[in-house]
Amino acid sequence: MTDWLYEASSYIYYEPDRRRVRRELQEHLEDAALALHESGLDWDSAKIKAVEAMGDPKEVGMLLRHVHKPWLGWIYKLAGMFCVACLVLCIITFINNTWTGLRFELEYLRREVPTGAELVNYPSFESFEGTYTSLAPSGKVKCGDYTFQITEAILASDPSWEKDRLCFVLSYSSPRFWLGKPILGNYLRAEDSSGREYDIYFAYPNLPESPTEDMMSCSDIYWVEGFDSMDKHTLQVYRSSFARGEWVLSLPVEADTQWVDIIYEFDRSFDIRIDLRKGGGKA
Amino acid sequence: MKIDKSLLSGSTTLLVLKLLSEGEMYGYEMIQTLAKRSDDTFKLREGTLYPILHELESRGCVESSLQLTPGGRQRKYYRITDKGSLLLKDKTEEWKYFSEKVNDVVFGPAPKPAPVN
Repeated sequence: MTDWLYEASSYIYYEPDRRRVRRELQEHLEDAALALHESGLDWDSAKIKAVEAMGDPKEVGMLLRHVHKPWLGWIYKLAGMFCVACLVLCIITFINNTWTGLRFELEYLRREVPTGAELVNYPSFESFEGTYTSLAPSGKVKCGDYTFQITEAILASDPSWEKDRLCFVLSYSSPRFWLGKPILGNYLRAEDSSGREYDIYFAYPNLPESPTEDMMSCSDIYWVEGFDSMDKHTLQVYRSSFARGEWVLSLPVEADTQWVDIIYEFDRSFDIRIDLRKGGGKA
Repeated sequence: MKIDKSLLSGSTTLLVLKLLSEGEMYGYEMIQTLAKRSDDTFKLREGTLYPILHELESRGCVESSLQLTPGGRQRKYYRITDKGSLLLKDKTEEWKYFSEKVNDVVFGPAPKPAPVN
C-alpha cells in the first residue's frame, strides 16, 4: 500500500499538496482494505485487492499532477533550493567572519600598548633619547555609548626640540560590544591654558613623521607587518571586535602651558584635562 | 453486464456531481454508492476518482472539509456548491440530449405520440 501511495503521489511536485493527497489516498486504501477484510478476506489479501482496485499508480499520479499545478511545484522546489543555498552561504560567511574576528581579537589581546618613552615617536618605533615626566592619568569620562580615559600621559623634552611634547594614550570602551570604534574624525581637538588650539591629524606610516606645527597627531595601536621597498615599517592596526581600543596622541606644548584640555565635540561631547604641573615622576 | 470503460470515463463528472447533490460524501463512500446503485456496472478505478474531485474543487464546483470519524481518524468529505449544482444541471441536460441522439441512431427515432382528438 505504501509503495502505491508514494508512487501515485510522487507526481505532485508541490510538497504540501503531495502530503495532503497522500493522506487522503491512504484513508481510501484503509477504508477499502477494512471493507474487504470484513467481507471475509485476510488482511494481506484485503490490502492487495484494495491496491489493485486503485488502478495504475502512474496513471493516477499523472492525472493528479495535471490538477495540482506543476508550475507551483517547480516554484516551490526552486524556492527551497534557493533557501538552502542562502543558508549554506550564511553559515560559511558566519564561520569565516567568526574565525577572522577571533583571530583579530586574539591579536588585539596580545597587543603591546606603548608606554613611557615609546609614546614620543609612536608609531615610527624610533627610540627617544630625551627625558620625560609622567603625568597623572585622568578619570573615566562617559560620552554617549562610550567611556573614555587618558590612561597614560607624559611630557617629553629633548634639547634638539623647540617645544616639549605632550604624549598620551586615550582609551575607549563600551558595554555595547557590537559597536565599532567611535568616530574621532575632526571632532577631537586640544586647547591649552593659553588658549592655543590644536586640530587633529592622523599619523599613518606613509605620512611625514614630523607633525605639523600646532597640530595634534593621533595614531592607532599598530603592530609591524613587515617592511616596504623603502625599508619603512608597514603596519597593521590592532582591532578589537568588542568596542574597545586606544589611540596614542601627541602635540607640541609651549613652556608656559599649565594644562591641556582634550575636547571632543560630535553628537555628544567630553572634555578631559591633562594637568602638566601634576607629575607622576621623571624618567 | 460489463461495459466499455471509455463509455464511463466521459460521464464520471456527471455521476460524481449527482452523488454529491444528494449529500456530502467521502471518496470511498462515493465509489461504494456508485457501484451499488449501478449494480456493480460502474466500477471506477478508484484512484481516478480523486483527480476528478480535486479538479472540481479547484473549479469551485465542490468543497471539502475534514471531519473526525468515530474511530478518531480524519476523513475528507466533499459537498457540492452552487456552482457545482449549475454544472450538474448542464451536464444532465447534455447527457439527456446525447443519449437521446445515440438512441435515435441505434434504435431509430422514437415514435411520436399520437395526436389527441
